[in-house]
Amino acid sequence: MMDCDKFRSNFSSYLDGELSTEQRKALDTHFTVCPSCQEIFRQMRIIQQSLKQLPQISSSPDFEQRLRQQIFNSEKRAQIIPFQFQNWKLPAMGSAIVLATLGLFFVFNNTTDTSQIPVNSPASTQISVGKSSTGGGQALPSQSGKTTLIPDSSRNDTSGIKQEGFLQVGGNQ
Amino acid sequence: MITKVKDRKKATVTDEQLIARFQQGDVQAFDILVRRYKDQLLNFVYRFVGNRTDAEDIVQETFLRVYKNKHYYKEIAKFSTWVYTIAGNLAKTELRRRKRHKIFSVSNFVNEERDFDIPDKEHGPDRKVDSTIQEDIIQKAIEKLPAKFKEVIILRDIQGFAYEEISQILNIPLGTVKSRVNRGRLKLQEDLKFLYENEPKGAN
Repeated sequence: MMDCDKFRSNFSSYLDGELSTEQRKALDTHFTVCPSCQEIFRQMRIIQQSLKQLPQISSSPDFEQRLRQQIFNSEKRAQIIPFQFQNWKLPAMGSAIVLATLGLFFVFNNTTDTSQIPVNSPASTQISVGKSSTGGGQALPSQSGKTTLIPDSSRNDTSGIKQEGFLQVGGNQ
Repeated sequence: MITKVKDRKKATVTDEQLIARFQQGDVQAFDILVRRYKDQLLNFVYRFVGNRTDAEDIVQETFLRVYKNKHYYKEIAKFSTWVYTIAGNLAKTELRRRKRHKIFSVSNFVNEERDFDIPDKEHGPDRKVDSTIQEDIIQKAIEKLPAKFKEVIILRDIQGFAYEEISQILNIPLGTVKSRVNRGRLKLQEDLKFLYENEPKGAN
């Protein structure tokens, strides 16, 4: 049986004329003593013949015309977008990065409680700064760990503070 | 006389010479390559995906890629190897796409039989119905094979490629090609018993 497995692994090569003379002779000898292998080999030969005889199909008459049209379209597209940028992955990745950045921006922006800040007040501008030593707002750490400027209602000069003033003190945490 | 000599010359132009000409801007050389390969590629892909329309689309895409990537071809490989590799990869991608689609498709939950392709009319209307049914059963058995066996069986038994060429097209060792052809044929034998059960024994 072990021998049979070894011989059977060579059936295809035998059919395709890929065996050496010695291997071929060994298989022929084996067939004379093993009807089971002989039968499997006969079946394989029939299957192979049937595959060879499968009818061929032909391309449709407008195949070349359609191909020319496709080439024309792709060249036209290439004039607008170069071939290397026609790959969908690149713009998709770019869009994903832009969306992720925008998403993060909005998420972090929403962590600030905007209800405290009067609308239309110049001091309502939120700036992430480490410390503010000047200006009319107090620098308070928010829940997210970011410092948010809120107007100090006890002072009268709140409305006079300009955004530039805050920007100057920003970044010294 | 001159035309005849010219024609003979044309006929002996190799694929590699044609692609070299195309790389230098001769679009006519590309047209000749398309005419040479469109039908054999179509048959290869058709046996792979089992659907004529999809097969034509894949062959169109194959040539489009040849056109766009002509400079990627290097003469270290035969043109046929290159173009078959492209077509084979596209066919495999199509099968993977279908598999994904099948997983999520509603038809997965409905007992739906695969639709039959219209028999090829080019082989004459008087063709035996028996033979059409037989072809269909063989085609289904091929489609049922795992892709790694299917590709070698089609390339070897239907397209007639040598083992060495198959090894280059699929980029796998020669020994792997041999064992896959053997195992693929043995697998087909299980599904195509009717082909040999009626044959007289001792016919080999």
